[in-house]
Amino acid sequence: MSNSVPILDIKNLSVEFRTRSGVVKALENVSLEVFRGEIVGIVGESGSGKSVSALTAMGILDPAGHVTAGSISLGGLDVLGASEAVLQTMRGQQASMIFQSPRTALNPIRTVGNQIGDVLHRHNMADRQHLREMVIRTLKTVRIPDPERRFDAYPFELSGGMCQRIMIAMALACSPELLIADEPTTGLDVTTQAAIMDLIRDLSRERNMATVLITHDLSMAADYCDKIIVMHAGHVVESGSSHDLFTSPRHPYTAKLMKATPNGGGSLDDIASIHGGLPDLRGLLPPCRFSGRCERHEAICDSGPLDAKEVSPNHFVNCQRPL
Amino acid sequence: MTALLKVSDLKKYYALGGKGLSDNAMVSWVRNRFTNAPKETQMLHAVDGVNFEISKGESLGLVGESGCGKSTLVAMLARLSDSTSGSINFADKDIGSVPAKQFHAEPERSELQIVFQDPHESLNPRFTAFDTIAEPLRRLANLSSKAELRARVEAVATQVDLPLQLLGRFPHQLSGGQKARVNIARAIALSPKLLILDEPTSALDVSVQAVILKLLVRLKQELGMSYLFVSHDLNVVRLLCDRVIVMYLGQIIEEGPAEEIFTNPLHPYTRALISAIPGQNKEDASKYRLEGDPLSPVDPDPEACRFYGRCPNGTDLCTRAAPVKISPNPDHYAVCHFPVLSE
Ligand SMILES: Nc1ncnc2c1ncn2[C@@H]1O[C@H](COP(=O)(O)OP(=O)(O)OP(=O)(O)O)[C@@H](O)[C@H]1O
Ligand SMILES: Nc1ncnc2c1ncn2[C@@H]1O[C@H](COP(=O)(O)OP(=O)(O)OP(=O)(O)O)[C@@H](O)[C@H]1O
Ligand SMILES: [Mg+2]
Ligand SMILES: [Mg+2]
Repeated sequence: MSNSVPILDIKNLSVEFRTRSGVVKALENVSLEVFRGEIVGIVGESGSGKSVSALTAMGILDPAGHVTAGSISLGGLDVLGASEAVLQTMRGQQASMIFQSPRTALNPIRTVGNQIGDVLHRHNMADRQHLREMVIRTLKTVRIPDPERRFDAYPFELSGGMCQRIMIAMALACSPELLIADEPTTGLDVTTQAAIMDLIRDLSRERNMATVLITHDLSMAADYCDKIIVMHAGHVVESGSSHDLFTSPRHPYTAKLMKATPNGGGSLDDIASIHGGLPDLRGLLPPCRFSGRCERHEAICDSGPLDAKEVSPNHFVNCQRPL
Repeated sequence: MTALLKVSDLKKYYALGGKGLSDNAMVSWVRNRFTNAPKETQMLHAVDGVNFEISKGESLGLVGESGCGKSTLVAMLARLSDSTSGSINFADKDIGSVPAKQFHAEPERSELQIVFQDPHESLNPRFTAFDTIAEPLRRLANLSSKAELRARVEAVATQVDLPLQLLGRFPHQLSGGQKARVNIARAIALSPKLLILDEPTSALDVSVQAVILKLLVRLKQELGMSYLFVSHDLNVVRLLCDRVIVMYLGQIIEEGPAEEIFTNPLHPYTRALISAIPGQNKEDASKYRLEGDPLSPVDPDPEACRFYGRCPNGTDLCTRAAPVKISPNPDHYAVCHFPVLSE
């Protein structure tokens, strides 16, 4: 496949959840392109729609969720129009996802070795005879110590970090073209995190795999991502190369996120929380969903729908009054 | 000043093999051991002889690789699981000898609270946020009326920035960060003397983290609370903690004042840890990247350093003699034959 066609192409996606207490407008007009060999970070506060974007792309949105606008193409497949059978084949062969809470995603009553074996077997990656061998090799790629013994471990016998590595092993077992990693190293120590992220980066280079990295660790995104998408309350507020974003953030929210991140040394007074919280996504929302928290807010911000402005090549900002 | 918490030679071993981890396996292991019968059961040394103290009003950071035994240690301290051996003294009482199952009836229960690692799985799915925060208050706070309970719950929710309209929601209706806030609110509802935080902010976005960290610092000042703060975010540990202990495969390998640990680490593992903090000078960072796998925690060789094999300073000596304690000044030590020389 040529590199000019994105492997994942989300266009103007809007998603709503119909709940008893009202309609939650979880995503509005979200667009995102990911090319092979590239690592794209999605950052933003809790509740900003990072996981919902990823789940929708994989075709596994919660039944309460409805796509109200937009399109998603994954490796040429129209995800929103495809049947469940087609989506199932796509998942695992073309795209894999590492989920946010690893322990709950693992089956508690099956050994981790057998669970990885299931995945390999389901996708015809190994016959029964060589399955154990293959699983142990897979465990080694994610640096599980003593893999022969861990094969027979149940999830509860493993530390949180080790469960996470098992999930990564399962996701990578079938050599997907697209890997979506939802907080893959949350709960891991920094040395293991560095090892895992190096591994993900090496694989994405070697296999020319596309990677979406969902994280709230801005420093990690800066270290590993080629491109970064900043989300706030269901909107993409800024996107661009990691370098551009970190050296000259243009959306007030991006700048605030950076200010809130402890970066070694300094004191607690140097970090600033962001005023207020995400707006309630039910009911009427202003065109800019950050306006209620923004010091730069003026009448023009309420004047009409926001469009992405290209402030420098491939650096987009959704703001009437960018920095 | 006497310590609020004093931990001595604390150990937790898990028996492996056959059906795994029953207490019977443990009993038979101990029996085998002391009757010199052939040793059959293999033991996983999750926590292996740990000593440290926390003073009143102090915050101690606990860091180390995943799987090194932090949660196991913390579960023993919070009396959620029993130790294999060793002692835990809390406010001059030997709480380690109270079986975990009976600890909920002890007066210390309300004085020692814990916030768990994973907010997604530590909340009861059938409890609303309100019920979760109210639960310890109902049990231990002697409140006289429903209105009083509601007022207390709302006050605590406000402290952790949890919007009151979310109090009626169940865990699956909350985002990850919102769940973490419910968790922290539950733990601080009784204003404990010691708050153990196992990765409390790992699921929080930075904007909320800043609020929580400032809240924790404020509560510490106002109430004289002490913290044991387990975290993989070393920048946060540096901001919040007075002292830091570093664990590797069940043992403490370095302890010292936070700034010392960060600017002048002695143990080669600590140096690797510090240099893996994301967002630093890239060249420096990869210079000390750890190679290879950690050794197995199962029946480790008592005469060898557990970091051997991944350690850039390791020599033959490290496989023959247990590492030694070195201490350049009274409040800083590391356990190592070949510590990092200050540059
Ligand atoms: N099943 C659901 N029903 C109702 N609302 C939902 C559902 N799933 C998600 N939401 C809402 O959609 C919004 C986006 O949630 P999402 O899980 O994508 O956040 P996130 O950015 O991944 O946050 P976090 O960092 O906490 O994981 C939130 O307001 C959330 O409450
Ligand atoms: N119930 C159990 N049975 C057997 N082994 C266990 C059990 N619980 C934990 N272990 C083992 O004990 C060791 C320490 O685990 P622990 O969960 O304390 O690590 P941790 O330092 O908290 O890791 P993380 O940073 O990933 O949370 C690991 O090797 C783990 O596999
Ligand atoms: Mg999420
Ligand atoms: Mg743990």
